[in-house]
Amino acid sequence: MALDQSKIRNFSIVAHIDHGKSTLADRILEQTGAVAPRDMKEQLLDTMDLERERGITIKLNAVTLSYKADDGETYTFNLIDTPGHVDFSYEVSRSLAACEGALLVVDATQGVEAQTLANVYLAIDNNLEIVPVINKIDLPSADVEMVKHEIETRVGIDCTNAISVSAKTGENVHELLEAIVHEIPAPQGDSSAPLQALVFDSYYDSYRGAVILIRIKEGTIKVGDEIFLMGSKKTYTVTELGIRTPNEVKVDELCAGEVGYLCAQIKDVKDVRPGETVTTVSRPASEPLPGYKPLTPMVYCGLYPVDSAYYQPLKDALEKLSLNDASLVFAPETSKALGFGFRCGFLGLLHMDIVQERLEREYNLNLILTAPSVIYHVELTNGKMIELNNPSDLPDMSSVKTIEEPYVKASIMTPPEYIGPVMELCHERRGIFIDNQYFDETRSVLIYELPLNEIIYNFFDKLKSYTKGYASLDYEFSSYKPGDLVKVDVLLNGTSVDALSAIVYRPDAYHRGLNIIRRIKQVIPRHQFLIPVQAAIGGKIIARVDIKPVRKDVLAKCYGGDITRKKKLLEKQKEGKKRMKSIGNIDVPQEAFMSILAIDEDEDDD
Amino acid sequence: MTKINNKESQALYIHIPFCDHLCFYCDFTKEIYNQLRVDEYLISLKREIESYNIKPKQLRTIYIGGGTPSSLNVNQLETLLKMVEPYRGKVKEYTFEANPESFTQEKILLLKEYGVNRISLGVESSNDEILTKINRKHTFNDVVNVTHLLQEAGLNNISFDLILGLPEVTEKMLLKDIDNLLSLHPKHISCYSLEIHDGTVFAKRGIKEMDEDTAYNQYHIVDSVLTLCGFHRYEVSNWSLPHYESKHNLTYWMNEHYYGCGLGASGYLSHTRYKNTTDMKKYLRGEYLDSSEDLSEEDIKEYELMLPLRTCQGLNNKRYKKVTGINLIKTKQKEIKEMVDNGYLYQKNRHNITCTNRGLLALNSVLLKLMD
Repeated sequence: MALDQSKIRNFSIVAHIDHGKSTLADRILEQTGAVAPRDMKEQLLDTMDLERERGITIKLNAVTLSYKADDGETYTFNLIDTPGHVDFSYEVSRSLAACEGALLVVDATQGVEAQTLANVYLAIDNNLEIVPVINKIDLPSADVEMVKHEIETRVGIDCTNAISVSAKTGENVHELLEAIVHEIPAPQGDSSAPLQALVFDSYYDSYRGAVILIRIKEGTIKVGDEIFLMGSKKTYTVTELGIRTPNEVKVDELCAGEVGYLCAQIKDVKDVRPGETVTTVSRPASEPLPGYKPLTPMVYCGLYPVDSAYYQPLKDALEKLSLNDASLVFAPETSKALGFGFRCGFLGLLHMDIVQERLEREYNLNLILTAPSVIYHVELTNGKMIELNNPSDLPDMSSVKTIEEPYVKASIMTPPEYIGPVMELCHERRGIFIDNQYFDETRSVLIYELPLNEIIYNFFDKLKSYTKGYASLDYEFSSYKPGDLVKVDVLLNGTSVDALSAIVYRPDAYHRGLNIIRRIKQVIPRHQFLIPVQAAIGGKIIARVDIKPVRKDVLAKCYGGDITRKKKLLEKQKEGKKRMKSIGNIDVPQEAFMSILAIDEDEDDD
Repeated sequence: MTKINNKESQALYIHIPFCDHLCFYCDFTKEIYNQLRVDEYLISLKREIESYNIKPKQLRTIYIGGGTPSSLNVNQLETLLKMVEPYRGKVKEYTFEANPESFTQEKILLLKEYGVNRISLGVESSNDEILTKINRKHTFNDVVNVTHLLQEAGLNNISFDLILGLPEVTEKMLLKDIDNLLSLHPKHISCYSLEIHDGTVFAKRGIKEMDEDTAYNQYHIVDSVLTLCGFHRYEVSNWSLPHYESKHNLTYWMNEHYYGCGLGASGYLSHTRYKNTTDMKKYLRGEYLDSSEDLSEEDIKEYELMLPLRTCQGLNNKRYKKVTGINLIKTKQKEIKEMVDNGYLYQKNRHNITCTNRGLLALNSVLLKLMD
C-alpha cells in the first residue's frame, strides 16, 4: 500500500564538525524507536570505523524512521546524513537534493562557522526549508540568544521558532521531532506520473550487486519493474526494494516522496553513479532530474604499493572506492624510485587522508603516498602547453616559458582581533587581498586569493595557531596565475629521487629545500653507512645534511627473561622495515615523502 | 628440523624477589623485604625446584639473582643454599648476586661454605652522590670493604655491575668509575646503558635514555680502557679476564636450555620458553607458571641468530644449519659482505660470522639484515 505522501518528511542535518550532528542523529533514532537503547552505539549513522574514530562523517548514509507525533498521526522520517567537512561538499549537495528540509545545527557555545555557512547556502539553493537547531544547551557556556542572533544576522534565517536542544541529554529532542513534522514540507511528487528516482548513493554487495539509494521524485517503482538508467543508458530488472530502519526491510514498491534502496543485479557500479536518474522502460520520464556537478580534484599525489606485487590489488581497490566517490580520480604512473603506481586526484588534504586510510584498512594495502601537488599549467618555449600534476615531470627549465599555478579564493572567518596576524600570514603565503567584511563585533571575514600550493603547505595549522583556533577557512578555485616557480630535487646518497621533487616559489626555494632535507634526515632511520641528503635546484646542490651511520641500537641487557621480549621487539622492527620502500640500498619510510610539507623546524645542523 | 640441544638443561636460575629498598630505575620483579614473606616464599620455591626432578649431577651452573638475594637474613640464606645443595654435584660456576650494603662477613662465609664461587656485586656507580640520586643505599666505601671481605674469604671471582648513562654522569666521571672498579681487581665487569621502563621513578621523572651517539661513546670508553687492562668483551655488555666469562650467562646467549625458578623467572626447556607468574599470592599457592610458548621453526631460527651474535663467539654456521636447515652464510652472502665492508661483521672462516665492536652495538641493524 502506498504511503500517504503528506506523512513523509525528508530531511538532512547541516552542521559544522563537532557541533553534535551525529549525536543528534543518534538521539533522533533513539526517540523515534528506530533503535532500541540497548543497540545504541555512539554515532550510529557513521558506519565506517574511520568515521567513528575520527568523529566525522565521510560518506552519507540514509535511514527511514517512524514517528508517532502529538497529533496522533504516524509520520515517516527519512534522515539523510551529510558530511561536515569542506572537502566533502559534493556529498552534501547529493543528500540535500533528496530532501525537502534541513536541520541547521549550531553549537550554542561556538556559534556559526564558515563551513556551516557554505552548506546552509547549498541547502537554501536547493529550496530546502531550514529549521534552526541550537545544540549543547546543557553546557554552562551555552549562549542561546547570542547564537540565535548570529544565525539571524549572518545566515539570514528567522530564529523565532528555533529549537534549543541537548543532543547529549536528549532535552527538547521531542520538540525537535514535532518541529520536523510541522516545519518541513511534505514531498509533492505524483505517484502516478512516469518514474523519476534520484540515485544519491550506492555501494557494492557481493551477493546482490550494486545497492543504490534512491529518492523517488515522481512515480512509483515496483519489484520486477524493468528500469532504465537515463545517464548510463542501461536497462535492468528490479530484484529488491527496501528501506533502511537502519536494518534493511524489504518492500514491494516505493512511491513518490519515499527514500529507499534498490537492487537489480547491477554488476558494474559505474552504471549507477550518484546523480543518475532511474525511470522505467515501459513508461520513461521525458527528461532526467538535474544531476550534480561533480567537483574537480584540487590536489594530486602519487600512490604506490610498498611491495610492487600489490599494484593490481591497489588498482582494484581504487576502482571500487571511486565508484561512489566521483571526486576521486586516478591514472597509472611510474616513478624511477617507486615503481608502478597511480597519480590520484582529491578534493583536498582530508579527502586524501581518508582515501589513504580506507585503502590501507579496508583493502589491507601497504602504501606510499608522495607529497600532494597541485596542477600546474606549463607553457614551453615552443608554444606547447602542458598540464603538470607531478613535479618530477617538469621539463628542463631552459625549455619552460612560464609556469602557472592554481589560485583559490579563500574566505577566512576570524575574530577581528586576529585580523593583523591572519593578513600577515596571507601575505607570507603570497596572498592577494580581495575584501574584508565585518559580520558583527565578533566576526570578520577576510577574502584572499591564495596559491593553492600555499594552502596545502601547512596553511591551516598556521592559521589555527595564529588565531588561537578561532579562525575557519573555506576556499574554492578561482584562476590560474603565472608564478616565479622552480623545482627542488632531493638526492639520497647522490641519486636524485623523483618522488621527492617539489615545485616551490623561487624566493623560498633555499629555505624549503633545507626544511625538506632536514625532515628527511629525521625520518629515515640510520643505516650502516653515511647517507648524504642533498637538495638541488636545476642540478645545483643548495644544501646538504647527513644521516649518520647507526651506532647503537642494541639493548644492553639480555638474560633469561629478556630474551623473548627482545625477540618481539626485533620482529616489530622487522615489520616496520617491511613498510618502508627500498630506494637503491636505502629504506625510506612513508613520512619521508611528506617531507615537502615539513614546517619550519629549528634544528642544530651538523 | 633437528633438535641440537636436546640434552637436559645444565643451568638453573633462581630468583629472589626481595630488596631492602627500591632503586629508581629498576623494573625487575621484586618487593620490599619482609621476613615472614621471605620464609613463605622459600617454602614455595623449594617445592618448585623439586618439581623439576633435577638429577644430582645434571647442573653445571647455578645463578641466584634478584631482587637482592643478599637481603635475606642468615637463616633464610642457609635455607636457600640447602635447597640447592642436592644439585651441586658437578656445578662449576655458582653465582650469587649481592648488594654491598646487605653483605656481611657471616653471609659471605656461609656462601663460601655452600660452594658459591662467583659473586656479582651491584656497584652501579662509584660516585656516592650519584648513588644517592638513584636510591642506592651503599657508598663506594662499602664496595671496597665488601670486596676485601670476599677476597679474604677466598671468593676472588667477583663481577661488578656498572650502569652507563645515569643522569649527570660525564665521560670524565665514567673514566673515574672504571678506574675505581679496576683498583679492586674484579675478574668481570658488566656495563648496561640505562633503560627507562614504564612505572619506574625515573620514567615518572621524565628522565631520558642516552642518545645513540653518547651511548656509543660511553661503550667505546669502557671497552678501550678495559681492553688495555687485559679484559675482553665476550658479549655486548660483558667484559672479563680470560677464562672468567660467565658460563651461566653464556647458556642464554648460546641458546641452550635453562631452568628458571622463582617469582617472575623465565626458563627454556625442550623447545618451550616459559615465564613464571609475577603475582606473589599465586606463587605462594604453587601456581608457578604464567605462560609458556612452544617455539616454531621461525622462532628457533630467530633465537639462533639473535643470541649467539651478541657474543665474541659469533654465529656458528654449522650449528645454525644443523638446527634450522639453512646455510645462512650462503643465503645472506651479499648482506654479510656488505656488513663486513662497512665494519659491522667479520668472518673468521667459512663457518663463522662475528660482530665487530661496532656491530655489537648496532646489533639490531645487523640482525634485521640477516632476517628474512
